[in-house]
Amino acid sequence: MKLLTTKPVLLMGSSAILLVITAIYLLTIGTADISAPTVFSIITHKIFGMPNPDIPMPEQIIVWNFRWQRVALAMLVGSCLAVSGTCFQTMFKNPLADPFILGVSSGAALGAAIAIVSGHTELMIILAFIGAILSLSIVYFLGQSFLYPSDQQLLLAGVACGAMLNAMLSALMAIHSQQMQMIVFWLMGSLTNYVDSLKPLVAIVGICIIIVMVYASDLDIIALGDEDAKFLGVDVNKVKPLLLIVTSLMTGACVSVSGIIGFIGLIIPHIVRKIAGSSHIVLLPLSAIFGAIFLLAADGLTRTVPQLASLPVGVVTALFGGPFFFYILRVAGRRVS
Amino acid sequence: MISLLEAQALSVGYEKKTILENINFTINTGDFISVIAPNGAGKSTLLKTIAGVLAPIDGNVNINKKPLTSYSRRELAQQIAMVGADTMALGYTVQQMVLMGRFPHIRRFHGPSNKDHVLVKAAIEAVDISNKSMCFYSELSQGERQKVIIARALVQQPQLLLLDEPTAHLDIANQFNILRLIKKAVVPKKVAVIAVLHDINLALEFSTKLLLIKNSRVLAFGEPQAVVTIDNLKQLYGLDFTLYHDAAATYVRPKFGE
Repeated sequence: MKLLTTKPVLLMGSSAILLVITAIYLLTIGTADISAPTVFSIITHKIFGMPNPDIPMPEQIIVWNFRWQRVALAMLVGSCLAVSGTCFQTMFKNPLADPFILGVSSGAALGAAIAIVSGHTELMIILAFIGAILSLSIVYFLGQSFLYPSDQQLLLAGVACGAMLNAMLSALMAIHSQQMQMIVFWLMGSLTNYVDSLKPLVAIVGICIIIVMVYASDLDIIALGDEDAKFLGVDVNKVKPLLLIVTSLMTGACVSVSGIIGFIGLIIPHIVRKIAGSSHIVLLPLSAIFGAIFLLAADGLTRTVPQLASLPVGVVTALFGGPFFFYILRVAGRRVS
Repeated sequence: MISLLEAQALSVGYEKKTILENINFTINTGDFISVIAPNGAGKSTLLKTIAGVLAPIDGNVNINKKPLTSYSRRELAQQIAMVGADTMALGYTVQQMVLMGRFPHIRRFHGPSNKDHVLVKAAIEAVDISNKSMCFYSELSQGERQKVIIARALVQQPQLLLLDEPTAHLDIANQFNILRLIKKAVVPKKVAVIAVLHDINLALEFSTKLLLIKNSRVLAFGEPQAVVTIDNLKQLYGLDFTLYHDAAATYVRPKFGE
């Protein structure tokens, strides 16, 4: 069978255009009626310094200070989770691996919950981030200290650590039941948490995705198995830990802002693989774009469908991602086996 | 002939379990060496140690007079290529699989060059699967997959090619064709080959030297005619064999019954 991906550039270009259109559409949604061309010129002005025809200040503030914040966060979180998921599935050779599998999310959740119950909600993001990094370090060093360290052991350490942290989280919620609602809402994932500045997050996610991209051809070969990878010259013992740390770091940073948005890191890599094959130089950027589009679309649903308005975006991703994923598996399962 | 690889007092195995002890041999450019030993004798372990994937328990392996440990993984992969029994991979085309063999030669931040693509195309032609080059590797037959892995090893341009039961699971025609293909590809470039083969007759046909391993030690190392004796075979497998010679070849078969 001929490969469908003779034109990966075309695929990337068209999905990037789709991403831009989706983002601009989302920027036009809201109580104030602002047209798409206006939105477009505000954004290009703010980001690229393009000339700005006279657009009234209130519109600029609404689009840039309020709506763009949420759209940008959705794109960052979506692409981070999808790229991390792709990386994890390849490195662990496990189709169930997702960015949270090493306990990052549980650590972040516990950190955020501690901030909430202690009344220091302004520290929520920073504590969540510390929690994510701490739990990752514990899992990683525990995994390395086993008699025979292996990927499976690392996964098990992640699951065990996650279960422990979740138990602590439950205990915390049981004791401080008056703040339970706030914690639960954070856990369900949301793009409306207030962030002073997105710049640190942009920097972390950007740098981490670039590092992962640099190792795209290593990942292609690691997908064949660690031993084969070594025979082909990949320094698996260095590349894997580096990529684990980089992806978990950016996931930790995203989770600490958005809470736990499930499913993207699991399904986007599978969808993109079905469309584009397994070459990571195509797979990784395409995952980033698709992840961003998917989360934007999920957020768009909560904002355009009144019945969904009160749902956290994490609920929507799972609610609509699940059936979509079944469909993809059914259709594509026949093709590649 | 130039000495390519020396194993000196080499012991291989895993933590707390030595599998082969005090192995000594030298491999020259152009040698085709088959390792003959019963199941579980540690042939694959030996190959992994030579490829630098497994650390030796004792002794040294030198490649081009330099200890194995002084090479980085990338440098080793420029010298040594491995063909195993059956590699499985989803979602890659034949062409992508073969291109992976160029990995140790392509510098980071540089994509594959024109030369890399030319080499890949030539290797795919050499193993006779040009018509499948845009197919998915996972959709090929086992014999075809093995050809792809050989092409991948060829574009690595190694000085030493390791074959770990490259013909396992293949039918008799494929077994023969695969080995003939390898031989044809390596002879002009004087690439040395170490092959783990179970079929003694195939080993006799293709090898310049045989390495016989028994009870963790080298039983015999030398030219096929010299080391394949009824006595050595009896020691290796605990079976009586008959040796046949004719104009074309020497071959062996176990004696059946009384």
